[in-house]
Amino acid sequence: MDKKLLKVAIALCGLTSSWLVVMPGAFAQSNFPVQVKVYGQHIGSRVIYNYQVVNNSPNHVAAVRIGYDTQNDKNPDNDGPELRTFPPSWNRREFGSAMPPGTVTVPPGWEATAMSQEETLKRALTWSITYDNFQAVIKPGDTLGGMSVTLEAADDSYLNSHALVIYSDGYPKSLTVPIERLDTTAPALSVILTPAALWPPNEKPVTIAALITVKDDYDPAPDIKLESITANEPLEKGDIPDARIGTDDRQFKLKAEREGKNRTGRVYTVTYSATDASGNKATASATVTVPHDEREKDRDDNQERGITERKR
Amino acid sequence: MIVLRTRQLQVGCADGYTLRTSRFTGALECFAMAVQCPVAPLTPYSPDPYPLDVDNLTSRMQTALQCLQTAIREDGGTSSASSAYRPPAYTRHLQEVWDKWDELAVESRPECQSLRNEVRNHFNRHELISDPGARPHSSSAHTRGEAFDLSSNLYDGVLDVLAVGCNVYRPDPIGDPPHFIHR
Repeated sequence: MDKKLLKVAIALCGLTSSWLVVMPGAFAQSNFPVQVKVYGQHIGSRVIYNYQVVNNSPNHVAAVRIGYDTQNDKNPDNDGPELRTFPPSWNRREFGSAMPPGTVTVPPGWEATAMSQEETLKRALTWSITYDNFQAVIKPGDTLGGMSVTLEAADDSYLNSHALVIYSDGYPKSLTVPIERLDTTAPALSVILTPAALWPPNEKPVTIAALITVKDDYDPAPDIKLESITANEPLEKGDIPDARIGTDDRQFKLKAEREGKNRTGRVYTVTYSATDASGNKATASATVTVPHDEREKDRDDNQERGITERKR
Repeated sequence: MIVLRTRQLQVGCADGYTLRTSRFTGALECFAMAVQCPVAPLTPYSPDPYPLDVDNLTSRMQTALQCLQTAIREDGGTSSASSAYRPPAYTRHLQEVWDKWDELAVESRPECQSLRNEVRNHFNRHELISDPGARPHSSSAHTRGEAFDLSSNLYDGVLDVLAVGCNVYRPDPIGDPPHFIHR
């Protein structure tokens, strides 16, 4: 080939993006021509992972295997499934490579199949066109959703693993990409504790109710947890008698007690977290005060009324 | 022959075409290549399928297999061993069949259809469709003579109790039910 022309061709490759459209093999790993995106949802006690395949390659995508890593080194020794759990009703003897009814959704013209690997307790889940149904492929520039799997409990390997994308044409025939999260925003969380002030400081436990407000852009019911209860004074065993840290505990008791020397009174700080099924976590705290004296209690009461009035 | 003339924004060629300099004009052009499936054919392996090889199991696994087959028979059941020792090269061959079928099952190009049929026949021959086996693992205990695959008509619970008595167990009874290794 003429060396001058070759140089021109190479220069053009560097200047234009059209090269990327024409030559799929030329993509760097950071510019994946096919993206596999996921978002999770809590529905009742279950977790649903929803997948979307965005095909920016010039080829037709005919299958995507979730939770499968080829390490991109073409070494079959390194290939393997990555999903730690599967719908509990699945077993290979009963279902073979099929998935149990009600555990997956598939787009029209597609099917879902299970994969396991010898001596590997991990699995992979493949969505592919049904046999010879090539009109159902994901065309260049298209996005396909409608692929979901329902689990009994959250499993972040469905969010953090890889996907094997298989083309019905083109070469190489397949591509391994990291699964990307569609939902990267933490839920909006607010906490209001009632009562917010405990008086008199008679050392008796008082029931506190937490009003939690949470909103997420993808997950209708993020997971709520009472993360911690701390105070500005040393706490004793009976000061927080029944709070269940690490659970969705919205009603617990705090002891109406404070040290006499502490002019600010005792301030309990209660922290909750909200985690959506895509793994985004938000925390929010609210306080319960045991005032040092009644004037401060009145001030706290007035502040509370002020807040209420402002809200109105 | 179809020629795509090279312009400023197009220096690559579509599938089935290759970039080269025109002998007549000196410009870069895309020329149609001979139609050939870009997927490489299967690497030949012989004997295929590799026969059931109990002799190359370790002695403790030979004992365990015999013990389990006897126990199942005495319990009124039947059993069928489908795999025992596997040479590493045969395991790689099985992996290749598996992975190639993965890709070719959804292959649409006409020039790949004969290869697709060949791989599908291979896949069927290894009974990977009728009983979709787990993908072979290259560092499998089979290649060390430390595993066998055995199916039985007995209930899983009964089979597992009998297996304990023969010093073997199923590490993945849900995903790979016939696979036994030593305890």
